[in-house]
Amino acid sequence: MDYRNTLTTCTYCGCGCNLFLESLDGRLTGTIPCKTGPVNEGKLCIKGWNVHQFVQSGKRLTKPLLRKNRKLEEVSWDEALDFIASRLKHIKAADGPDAVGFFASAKVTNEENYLMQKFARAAIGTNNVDHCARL
Amino acid sequence: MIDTIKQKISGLLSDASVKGVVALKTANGHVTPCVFQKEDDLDMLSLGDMQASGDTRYPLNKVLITIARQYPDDVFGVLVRGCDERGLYTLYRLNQLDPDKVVPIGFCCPEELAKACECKKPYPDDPVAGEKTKEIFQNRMEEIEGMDISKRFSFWMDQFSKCIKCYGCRNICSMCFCRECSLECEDLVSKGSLPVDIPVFHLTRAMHMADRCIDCGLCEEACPSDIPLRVLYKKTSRIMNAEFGFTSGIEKQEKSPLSMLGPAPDN
Amino acid sequence: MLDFCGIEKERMRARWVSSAEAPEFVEEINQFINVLKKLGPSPLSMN
Repeated sequence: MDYRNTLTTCTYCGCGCNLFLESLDGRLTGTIPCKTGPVNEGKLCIKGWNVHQFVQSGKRLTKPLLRKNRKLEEVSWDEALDFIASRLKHIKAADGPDAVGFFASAKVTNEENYLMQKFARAAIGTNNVDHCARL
Repeated sequence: MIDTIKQKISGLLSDASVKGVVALKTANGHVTPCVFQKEDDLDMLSLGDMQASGDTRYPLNKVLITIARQYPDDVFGVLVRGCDERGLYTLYRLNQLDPDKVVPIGFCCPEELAKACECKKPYPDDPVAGEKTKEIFQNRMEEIEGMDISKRFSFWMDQFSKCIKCYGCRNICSMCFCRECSLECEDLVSKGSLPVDIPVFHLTRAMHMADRCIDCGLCEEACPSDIPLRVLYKKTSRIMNAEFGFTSGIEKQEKSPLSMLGPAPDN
Repeated sequence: MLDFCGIEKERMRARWVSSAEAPEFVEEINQFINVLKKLGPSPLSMN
């Protein structure tokens, strides 16, 4: 039997609430707010309370998919990234950098989001950067 | 106190009378619910006290239910304060835990904590450590009962309208083990809107707590809006006591009057 | 509980009336309506 509580930070917004992800034998079973977390002091909102649910969701994308002939097909990372790069270059050349928008995510780290906006501004040359937590 | 408890747990683990002990540990500066399976790990044992006693209580019974559902044939120990033990007794009654599969390791709360918690029984029946202190009489409920009816109404409506519908009170509660919850039934509580249906949301939960609530106060600690939920549930418990002479979690062999047929027992 | 939350307890009533006892049912409802009229609109409806 392997019961664990892993201390982590809620991925839903930028507040940074501390919580424990409760797992039993490698499967997440629940969320417990961390009482010693200085941000949330043992409290959570409804999103935080359910943060364990999306991790094991069957609806998650686990492999890159590319739409070919109106159907999503599984492709390799190389093929997916090549496609993205060529399309981005093409759009930038045809309609200018502001024809491209970048949507970052609250579910990744600060550093990853930093890279995203850096890529948008430095590599593509647009300030069209937004974020799902602003919805 | 903690050394006596460590000794007790270590004894249980070494003669394999339990598969594990549900307790708290200190790791990375935080107190965490955990299961001790090896004696060597006991250095990390915590009783849930950081700055003040009992300021990091966690619903250990709830952890035990999660584990017991997966391992129904194994015996587990669990660290219990007075409130946790009341929870255990109620969970035995509601068939969520098997008393033969649970070894409670009880300890008494100091007077300071009993006061802070307004605890009606700050000690387990058979404590391994600590001195039994006196129960505390609570007066928050009387304050509200003393208001006139319109003031009482606006008091509660102000409180309920602060609710952000996080379901934290239900999620933290060891007594809330149902797989289907009335608070998620769309005929009672509308989905996706705030403020919540007032006062249906809070009163539904209060009614369901009538013969369950063991007055541990975790719900109030988990409420981001500081709604005095405990006072509400204290009132339902008070009615149960006045009508049926019943207080949940005080006796191991208790039976709820709500699950009996026939005339109310004399009290 | 309603009383504790500041809602007049007279606003709720539970009574068993058999389907064969129509006059009793009518009588009960009429009485209840009179009580409710005296109490006026519910504080909840004014929010």
